[in-house]
Amino acid sequence: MTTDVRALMHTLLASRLTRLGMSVDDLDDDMDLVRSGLLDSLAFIDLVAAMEQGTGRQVDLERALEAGEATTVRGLQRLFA
Amino acid sequence: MTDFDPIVLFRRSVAHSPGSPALSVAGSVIGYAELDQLSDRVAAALRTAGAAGARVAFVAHRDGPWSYVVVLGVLKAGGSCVPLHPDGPAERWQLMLERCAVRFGLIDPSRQEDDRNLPTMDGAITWLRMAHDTRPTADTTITAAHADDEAYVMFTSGSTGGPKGVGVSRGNLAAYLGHLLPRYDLRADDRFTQHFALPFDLSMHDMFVCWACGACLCVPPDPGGLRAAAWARTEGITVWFSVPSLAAVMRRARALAPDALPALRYAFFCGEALPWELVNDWHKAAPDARIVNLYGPTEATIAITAFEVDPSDMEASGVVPIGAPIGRDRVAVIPAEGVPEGEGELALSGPQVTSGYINAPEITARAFVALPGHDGLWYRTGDHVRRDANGTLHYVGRIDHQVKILGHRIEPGEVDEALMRLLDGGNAVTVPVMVNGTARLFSYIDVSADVPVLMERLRAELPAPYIPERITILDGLPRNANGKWDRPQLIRMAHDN
Repeated sequence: MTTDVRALMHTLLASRLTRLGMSVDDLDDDMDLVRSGLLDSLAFIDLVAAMEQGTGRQVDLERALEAGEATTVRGLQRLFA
Repeated sequence: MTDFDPIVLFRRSVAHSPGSPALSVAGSVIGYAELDQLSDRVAAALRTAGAAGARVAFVAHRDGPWSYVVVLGVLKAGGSCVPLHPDGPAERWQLMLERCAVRFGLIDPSRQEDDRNLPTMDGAITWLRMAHDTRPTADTTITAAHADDEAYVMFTSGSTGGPKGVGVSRGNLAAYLGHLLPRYDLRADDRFTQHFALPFDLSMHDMFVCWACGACLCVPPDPGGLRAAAWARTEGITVWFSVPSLAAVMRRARALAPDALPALRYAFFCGEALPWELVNDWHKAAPDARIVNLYGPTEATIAITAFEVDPSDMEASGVVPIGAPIGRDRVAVIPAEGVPEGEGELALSGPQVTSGYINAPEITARAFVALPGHDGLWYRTGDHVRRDANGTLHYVGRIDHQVKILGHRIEPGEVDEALMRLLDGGNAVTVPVMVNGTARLFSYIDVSADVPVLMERLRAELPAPYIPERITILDGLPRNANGKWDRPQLIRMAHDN
């Protein structure tokens, strides 16, 4: 299941990574997708929405964001784990 | 100096409530007397260095009090603030500083990472180190400022020739504060947001409207708005000011639930068209807040018209009107062929209208003009508006290709210019494409290129909001019947992919 979420995230981030001259190999678990400049906040929400669609699951985004870790690669995967 | 000079207003609050909180940033709270002392030190250091009355550049980080102290210190020394965006890129900083012949800059010595990137301009600029120093200074002189003295420089995108520096005077800023402050019941016990990056002129509203009221300015730790609602509740925010797209982020992050912002008394929006749909949700989240849509270009100092939403008279779709002038400035709608009566380009004239672009007489002369049948000088906004029977102004769109991305004014032509320079022959056309309700840039080029390398080189020249989502290579760029680039066709192609 985790690998599916990871693969989905990689697919969805592919064009963004290209824009920054990066590849999925550069995605560290601790990397913050927003603070790193990879995504702006709207693009992050688009990513969450696309992941919800891809996994067929709704997440409590506001709560996850308040808790703090949701915008990291690890945090986002946990949200859908 | 007038009664509404920003430093006069700030000092009045210092005298009235020296112990009250003036700034809440990165977990620390600074009182009015302390902020006054800290900025006196900056002003004294600038005078000692011979920089009184000069333009002073600084990298405007917002994760500590330093930048705020610098803004006050520069103004106290009679100078002009030139805030640089912390994200750079450094090549653009250099272009900005050269264009405006900036000779002094301030460095926060605790941030060595900036030093490496700071332009030296072959010694034409002197970078002064200014530590955050809380010891009081003996020299508490305030350099008297005149209405014509420049208060700050803000850069806007130019379709050719790169960023343009708008010089805003103390008189322009005082006119804005004098127009805005009497309209709203803002109080010393209010808590104001500080969402705008300092190189964005709306940050001047954040600081000086708040400090004029003797209230506390609160800087969010997360600039993107993903946690803004929770932060606003924790900080006890009562006066909100942001671009509408920040509110749109909050809504899409499901943070605008009913009563999510119960303490809010005011919500000001500016910088982009404000959708009614968003206002409806905002009103449910903050039922006690007066919602005000402000409109204005940097060239006319922060905001020049306003429309206050009547909660009993809200529409379901479309965008909120931009209203009517907040003060003594005049508006004119320039009629044009083929547009209905009452519609046309909006022009502005009055005490908030600046004297133009620094060291750019030609583009200034094109934008600041005399209008037949009207006295005075008028700034042509490039915004297409409609004036209704009540005199209320409605924003219709741009008369050129300019787009707003998260409140940033961007000329796609500036991206094209940078791309063509890098491509060394060949054409580039950049178009705005709406993706999930937000404008994003897509670029098309007609010569072969290594796209990732091109993206990397573009990032070294342009700030993040200017970087296209995608660069697509075509065999030829489509033209319309008039031989011009067929932008609608390119926008359709972006949607199809």
